[in-house]
Amino acid sequence: MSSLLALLLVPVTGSIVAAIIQRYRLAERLVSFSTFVVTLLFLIDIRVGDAFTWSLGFLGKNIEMGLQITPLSIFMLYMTIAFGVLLTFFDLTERSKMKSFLLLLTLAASNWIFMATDFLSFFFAWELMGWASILAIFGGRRTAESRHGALYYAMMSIGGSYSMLIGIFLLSNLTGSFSIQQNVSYLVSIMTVHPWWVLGIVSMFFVAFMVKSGIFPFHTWVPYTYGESPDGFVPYLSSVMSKYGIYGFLIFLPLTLSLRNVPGVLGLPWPNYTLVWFGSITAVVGSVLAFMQDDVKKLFAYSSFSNLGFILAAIALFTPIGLTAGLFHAFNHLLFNGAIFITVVAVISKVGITRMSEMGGLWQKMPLTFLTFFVGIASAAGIPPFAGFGSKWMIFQAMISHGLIFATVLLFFASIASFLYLMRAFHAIFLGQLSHKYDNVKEISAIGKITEVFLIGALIFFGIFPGFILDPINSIVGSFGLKPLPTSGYEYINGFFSSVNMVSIFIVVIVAFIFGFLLFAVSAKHKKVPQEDNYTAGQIPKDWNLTPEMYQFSYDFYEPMDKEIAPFLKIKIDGFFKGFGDSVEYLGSSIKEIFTGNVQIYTYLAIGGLVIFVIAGWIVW
Amino acid sequence: MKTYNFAALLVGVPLLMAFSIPLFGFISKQLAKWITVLTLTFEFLFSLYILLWHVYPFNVIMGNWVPPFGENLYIGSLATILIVVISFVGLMISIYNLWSAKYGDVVHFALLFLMFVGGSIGLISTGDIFNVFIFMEITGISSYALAAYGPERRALGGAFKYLVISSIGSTLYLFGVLLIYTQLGTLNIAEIAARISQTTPGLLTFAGILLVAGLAVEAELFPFNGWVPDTYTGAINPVSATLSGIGSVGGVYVLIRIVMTVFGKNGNFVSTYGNLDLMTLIAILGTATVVIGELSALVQTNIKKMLAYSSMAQMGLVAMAFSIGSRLGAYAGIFQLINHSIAKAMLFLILGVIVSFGGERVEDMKGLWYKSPFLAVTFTIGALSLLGLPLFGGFWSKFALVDASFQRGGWYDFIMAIVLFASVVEAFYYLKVVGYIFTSKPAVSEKIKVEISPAIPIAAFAILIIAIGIFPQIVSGISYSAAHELTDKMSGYVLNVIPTIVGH
Repeated sequence: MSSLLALLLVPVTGSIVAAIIQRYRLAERLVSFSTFVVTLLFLIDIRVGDAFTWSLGFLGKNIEMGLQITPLSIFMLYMTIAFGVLLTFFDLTERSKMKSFLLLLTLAASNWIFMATDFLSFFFAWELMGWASILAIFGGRRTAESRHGALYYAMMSIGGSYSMLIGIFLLSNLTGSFSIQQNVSYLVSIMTVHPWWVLGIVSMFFVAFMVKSGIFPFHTWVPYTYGESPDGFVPYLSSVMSKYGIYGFLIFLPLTLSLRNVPGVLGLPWPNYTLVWFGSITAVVGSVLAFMQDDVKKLFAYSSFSNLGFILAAIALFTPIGLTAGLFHAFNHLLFNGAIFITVVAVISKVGITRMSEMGGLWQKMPLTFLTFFVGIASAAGIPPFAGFGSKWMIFQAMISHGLIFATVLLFFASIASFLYLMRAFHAIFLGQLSHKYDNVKEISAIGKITEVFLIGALIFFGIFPGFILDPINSIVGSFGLKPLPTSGYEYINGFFSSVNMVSIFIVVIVAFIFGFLLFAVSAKHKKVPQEDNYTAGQIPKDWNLTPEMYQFSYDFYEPMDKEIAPFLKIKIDGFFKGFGDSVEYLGSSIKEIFTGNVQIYTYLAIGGLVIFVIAGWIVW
Repeated sequence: MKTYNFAALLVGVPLLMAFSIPLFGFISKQLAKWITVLTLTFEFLFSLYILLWHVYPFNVIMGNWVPPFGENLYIGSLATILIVVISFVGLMISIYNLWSAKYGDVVHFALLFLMFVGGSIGLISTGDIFNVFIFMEITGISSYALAAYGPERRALGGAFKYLVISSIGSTLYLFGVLLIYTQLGTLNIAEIAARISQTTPGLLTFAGILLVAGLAVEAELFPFNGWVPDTYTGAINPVSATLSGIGSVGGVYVLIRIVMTVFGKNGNFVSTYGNLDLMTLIAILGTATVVIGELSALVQTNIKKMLAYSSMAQMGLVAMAFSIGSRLGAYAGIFQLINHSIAKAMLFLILGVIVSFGGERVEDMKGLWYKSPFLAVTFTIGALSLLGLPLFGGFWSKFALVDASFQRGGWYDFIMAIVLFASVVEAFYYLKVVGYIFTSKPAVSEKIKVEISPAIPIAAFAILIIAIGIFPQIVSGISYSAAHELTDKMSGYVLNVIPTIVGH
């Protein structure tokens, strides 16, 4: 099928064009947008089962490479490309230094990852996506920090891909083939004989996937990198690129089906159980760290990988409901995270800073952005009837149905913590008093407004009619050989214990909202006060070294709670990686001393080497 | 045995032209430079003809003395591809020199450069172990002088260090050759290779150690590579490019030819005759070089020095790839050698342009993107290719290298883990420079104007890197048949030179 190739060639062509005209920002962004649109048009023509193969003369043989569409890959393709269309549309008026051609290269790589049938092209695409995104991050707002963030990401990501590379070769040496299908079925066949080999090989792959999705303990790069990436790129990074890891996990998770009869924990095989815990811990770590952030991009970076923890915990169960819940949450995360990051980017582009304690009251200036953000965080918090409720509800059901009480409690905790940080961001950015600095702030451009309206619509639509997403997910679940959940109309979510009619929930929520609004309307009148008109009892704030920002009630928003958690924060995974990096550098500066610049030393080195060889030869002799 | 004596021109023409350059120099200095370009164009086209029309493998026989009695050149697939690469890199650097060689004794610079390229081609094509020494001396002496060329005093220091270490190397090599000659009474590589098992194992081991130690100097393997950082840093950039793009290719080639063809004992994995397996020795040297090179490069603040250490580390990688001893390993080694030669030569040339507008510290790369997008993009392409990232040539060779070493298994798994770790280190310092290029605004926003004659070679290298990255078949096929020459020495090499000989 040529349209499969088009999914690779169109973005590459677009990327070349965008690279050539990158001097003209609007033209470049237009190219980027239209490339995404054209790719989406090609995608419409593509059906499950389409395949394309070719062979490459490499390694002294002809290596079969191929593209193939599975239910999972088409789901992922639609998700990523459609989101990309929306994002590049929004980016048309965005002014950061993001290079569109790198985004388009990432798109080509991403399409390839989802379609690859062999590890050679999978790795090729994976690395391509890696370096394109690394270079894209270099364009951040603050130069030194964005370089640091990109390098941190690069180190983790390259380390992860080398780990995957080792896995690929350990595997392909056993089977003599790069085909993903063959290798996975080979692993299934030796599963009972050599479980430890399988575990070892698959772990090598999982490191790469965990890095990319920001799963504990490889989550440390996420806040640095998201916090410093160009504003136009960060929604893509967090909404789309984090899903590559999830896709990777789903390549290998079917392996565990053959372990179902082996005793494990609570009816779950050990690998699944362990991954569920990795997911749950990630969710908690992300949420707890998120609510202590004052930098809005960092806050949502933590939030982002915390949600990835939810997704991993659900898909790791690899039961019909777990898988459905995980994929559903992946979709919802894409939407609400996109909505949140796009609005955050819109706000940052208007106020020019990322510290939340210096914002505040912006809803008066940017009402539509405010509304979008509200819908986004309501979805993220899992409040019905928005998207995000259904998937979280299903995740909890999936967990409890396996009796994973402790992990479920952790996830509940993470969910509550997520209320806290979402509340913090919501208050700090949009509510409260407006600083005079922002008197001239305006709502974003018409293009931004269209994007936001679309996002609100999508979040509500898929919240009320989850069936439109659950249907394709059911076919994915079926393609893994699991029994899909029963369906009963687009407005229903069928869980393990019960099913929910989202339309009735929607009506209830609307009624409750109207009731609440009526109460608000009839209650006492409100008085607006400026930021300075505050609680200092006649003192002049300057005498106290106070600035207007410190009156912002979101300054040190969760101070008591921060103090409670502070001792735990001394455990730094981040510190481990940093320390490791430092010791490598230290090693480097010691080793460099070998090359003193003195020719006598060099001569001694050479002669010394020779003597050692001769002695070695003599001993063997 | 196929003969094609016309190919002697490959070695003869550059040497002849080199020595007649002073005559042209009397007419005009420009003419001397153009003679280099023309000669190397001839070399490149001729070698390309040999490659594309599949003239190889053949012998060049001097004065009808059939090997092993006379001196011969043997140009098989390995020599062909390497000569193509060397003459291409040489041609590009000579075009670059039209712009860069403008001070001092331009005429003699052109002479030395041409001599160096001609010597390297001779080194690769000769079929005689003593002629290897002669060509090593030709390249050596011309490169000492080349390295000393330029306005800076440090060039002299670098060249002197190179001279000292390299002389030790060639002495050791000569001594090794002597030991073999006393045993077998012949200097022909093919004959020695066929009869190597007739020697006394003890003496052979000693000879092998001497040869490896001597050749490791040119192949930039630790601990014989002390000269590398200072010489590369001291020399002007086109000379660094020459040393790294041409000199190291010749060095590694001879090392591998001697160890795998002359000493090699064929099996599933090539090992060597004698008491000590020289392949293991090279594996150890190569791995140590990779680690030491990458770690030293990590902390450099001078970008030229960084490239020098990286060059050393890459040579270690190549040596390690060959030491695997399988056909796939040799294939990966050749592939990596070619990719490195192109990419590193390009980086040095780019640096030459940048240095002519400013310093050579890592900080001076800041904001290169704003000064010259062309140089920024090409530098990035070269760096990413060296890191083995996809769309660029380096990806395929690194992939092949990892494949080969995991297929070998055993302690190569361990070596590979070390090498991959070193690669992460390498990624860090290259990406750091790339980061400087793209993120920071420059201190002085002076634009860098790249003239046409340096732009041509840089662009050509960049296009070639991407072409190999997208169509690895360009290099893949010929590399694989070249690998056969190394891993099956009788049918790959010896019988092509002396069809009647019987292996012992």
